[in-house]
Amino acid sequence: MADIYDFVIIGSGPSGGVLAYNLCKAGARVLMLEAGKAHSAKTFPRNEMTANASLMWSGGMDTSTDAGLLFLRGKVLGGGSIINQCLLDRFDDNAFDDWRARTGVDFYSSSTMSRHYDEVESHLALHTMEKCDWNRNAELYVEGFDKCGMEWAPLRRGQSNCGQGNDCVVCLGGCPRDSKQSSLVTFIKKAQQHGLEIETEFNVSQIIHGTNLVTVYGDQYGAARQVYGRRCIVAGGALGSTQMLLKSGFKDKLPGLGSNFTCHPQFMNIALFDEIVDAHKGAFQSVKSQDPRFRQQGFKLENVFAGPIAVSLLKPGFGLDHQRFMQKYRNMACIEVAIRDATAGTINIDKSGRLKIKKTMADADWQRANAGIRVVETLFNSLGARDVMKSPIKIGLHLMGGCTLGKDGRNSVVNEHFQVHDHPNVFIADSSIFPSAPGINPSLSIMALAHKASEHILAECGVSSTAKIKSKSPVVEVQP
Amino acid sequence: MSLFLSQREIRGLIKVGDLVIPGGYGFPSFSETGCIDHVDEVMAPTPAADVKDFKLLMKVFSVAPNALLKGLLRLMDKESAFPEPIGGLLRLLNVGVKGVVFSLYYSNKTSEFYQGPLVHEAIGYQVNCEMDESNGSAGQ
Repeated sequence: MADIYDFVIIGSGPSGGVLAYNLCKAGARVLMLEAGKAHSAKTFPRNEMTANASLMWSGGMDTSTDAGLLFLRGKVLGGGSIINQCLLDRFDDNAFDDWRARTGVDFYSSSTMSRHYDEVESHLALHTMEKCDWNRNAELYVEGFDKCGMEWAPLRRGQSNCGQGNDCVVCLGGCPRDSKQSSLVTFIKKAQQHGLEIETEFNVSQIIHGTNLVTVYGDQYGAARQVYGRRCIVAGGALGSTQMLLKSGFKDKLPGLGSNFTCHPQFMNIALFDEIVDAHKGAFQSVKSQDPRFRQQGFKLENVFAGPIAVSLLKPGFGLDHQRFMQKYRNMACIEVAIRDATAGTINIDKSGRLKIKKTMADADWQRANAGIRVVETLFNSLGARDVMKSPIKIGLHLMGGCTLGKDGRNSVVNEHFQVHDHPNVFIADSSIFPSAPGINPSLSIMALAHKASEHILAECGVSSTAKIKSKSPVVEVQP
Repeated sequence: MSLFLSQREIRGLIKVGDLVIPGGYGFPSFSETGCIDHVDEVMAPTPAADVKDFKLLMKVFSVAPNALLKGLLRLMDKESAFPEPIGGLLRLLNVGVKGVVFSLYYSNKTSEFYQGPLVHEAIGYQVNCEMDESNGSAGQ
């Protein structure tokens, strides 16, 4: 008889980690599948190109069909939490009110979600950046905001100990100090202490929903594999989860699958100064905009920077002009505009199962972006920047939607219990269930929703999440 | 030696690489660094269909005159002036071609025999992240 797990979780990012921990802690036998490799603080690549190639899908070069947006998504144990920065904010009433209005789902509210936020935050080291953490890029950011009478605030980051004199641009390719609060060093580590089993480099090709079992087909190290779970939880992110369900033929019963894809398009704006800024040194992200006028207009600003490869791609042109620009790398300051996406796209697959992401920037999006870029120009000009460069490349970060949560199976994919409509043994609890772009970094909310999902999933199996079960596996009863 | 690109395709990549990064302002040229030796690292995670398209493009680049390639590079930067799907195609080319060239060059990787100035030295990029002794994790 083949090995049957209580739960098979596909994906190891912020959602997969929380789910694995809560289910394992309750006594369930859980298998986590991850398409990427397992790395640790000791093995994360130190070279920017190697990091892109070994930690991201398509080496960080996934694009929309019209190449208007470049999507970055993690392919490594720990998922997106390894490569993304660790900005952990709760969603505000504005975001939840919008979601409640769109879906009619009552638990989308700050008051209902606060217990879940409290719970996940209790497992994380959170640090509000202080003035002593600022590098020159952050100082310029604050100076510009103060001069122009705009509100800023310190960032809250999931980090334990970044140490003195360390350059955190490095941790875009995985944190070498185990400081960044990725799911790898937080929930996955704890779940392993409760018996979590992990299979890495497992590429899922199909999920077959059965009455008693879910079979997950894939390949690992060049060989075909299949694993069995009484329940399967898909946590592969907006693109990954949607792609897996599309490849598995779920679209036939779920017409809404693949719709409502959103992200937070980001525009990095670089200014050249006469002085050395060294934006890549020290903590390269520490302050953000807190101006209510920005939130109202659908954008936010952050101080940020990137390694030489990423910065080179932001500059149009080629030849000597480009090299003159790159020679000024140490003189660059950078402010990023991130917009609250107004126009949803669609996720499809071609005959070979490859993703086809249709996502264009519509007029409403450009109005938000241009409003933000104008503010950045004002800020940099007030600081005496020699030149301000607007990037032609738009990066789609915080990928959301594709498997929206809602009450109606005709236009949503999962119900209020995170269960796929008409497929009671398959659940989804990641950013793919988001109904719209919240305009706030989503990691912490993905974790909080995964915590809520884990309670629903355990309850559905007749298990309380607060008291560890005493019986041996299976936690999930198989119906005769 | 590349497992992905033929000799002719490598010639095409070096040709366009040297147009994008001809060397100057203290920088070596794309070909001088020998960063092309690491092209398989960029190609490895690239979907097979994209690798196939890239190989074809490099074949064409290997025989195309420099003036034509320069014209194409200029067009890539003016993508917004073109209607779709031409604009989209130019954007794809931009990401595909410059993505590979810049990734190789600004990775600071070189051939084993290269003795000139390193790219990271030329731009003053030097990062440091020490291991955390308390939990035994490693820095660089």
